[in-house]
Amino acid sequence: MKNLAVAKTIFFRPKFPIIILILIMLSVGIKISYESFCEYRKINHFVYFCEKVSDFVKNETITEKSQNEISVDSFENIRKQALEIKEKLNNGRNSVTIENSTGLIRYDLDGKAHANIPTPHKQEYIKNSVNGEVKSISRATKNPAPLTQQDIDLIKLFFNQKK
Amino acid sequence: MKTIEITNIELFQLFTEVQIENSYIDLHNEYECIKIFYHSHKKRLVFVFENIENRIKKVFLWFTKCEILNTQHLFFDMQNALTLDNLHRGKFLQNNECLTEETFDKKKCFYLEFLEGQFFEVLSQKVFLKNV
Repeated sequence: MKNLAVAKTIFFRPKFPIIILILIMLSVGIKISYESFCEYRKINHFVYFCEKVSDFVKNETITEKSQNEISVDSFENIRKQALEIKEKLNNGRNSVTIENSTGLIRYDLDGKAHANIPTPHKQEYIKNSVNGEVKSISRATKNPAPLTQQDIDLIKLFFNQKK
Repeated sequence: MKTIEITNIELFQLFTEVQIENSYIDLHNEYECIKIFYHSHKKRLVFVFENIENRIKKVFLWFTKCEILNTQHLFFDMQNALTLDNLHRGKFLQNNECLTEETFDKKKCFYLEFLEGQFFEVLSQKVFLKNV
């Protein structure tokens, strides 16, 4: 009975509904601020992600740029590999020609520089057709291009498949 | 010194390296063309190549009963040596109608292209190569 009396005094006090209202408002406020905090974090994550992507792109561009500059080390490495292919796989011959769907590519592993591009270099050729029939082949580009590691790998693959 | 006939080389295959006896001759990387001349009476087109490292070594490439279909070369302008980029056997347009490998008198079509831009499109009955 005593407890009931205490309960009555609490629940039927005139200020009780106001307290409940304040509590509800507080909880709604907390929820809203929590959601906004999450949103903020999401945005922050997104910004962070964007920054990372832009850094990555920037670094890639720099790497690409330095690759194009063909450092002496990488050139020497490719040259060494080309000479190895010449001796071990190509019977001492300077060039190897590989046919593809559009034409031919001649890889000069050793020999003199052409158009100031030292060996190893490659020259692409295209097939000239008349009414869908091949007539002749001619250079696809005026000057040869220096060999890359990808080219070296392709030549090795070509010889491995020939075995 | 040995002469080989190269008239029947494979169609559309680059022919700049050739084996004569036990040695390979690489006309693209190791030789340069120092003379080109055409005997109109004999209908013979001759290319003289010289080894870059050993100037005594020479290679003669000649086309017999030759007919020049198309060219971009001034025969008197040979102040600078030329680098053979590719030599191959191809087809030609007969009567501007269809592509053919051989003429009625057994001439085949050969294409020569130099790095410097000169080119020859010739019909020839026989093609020879000789190293000296």
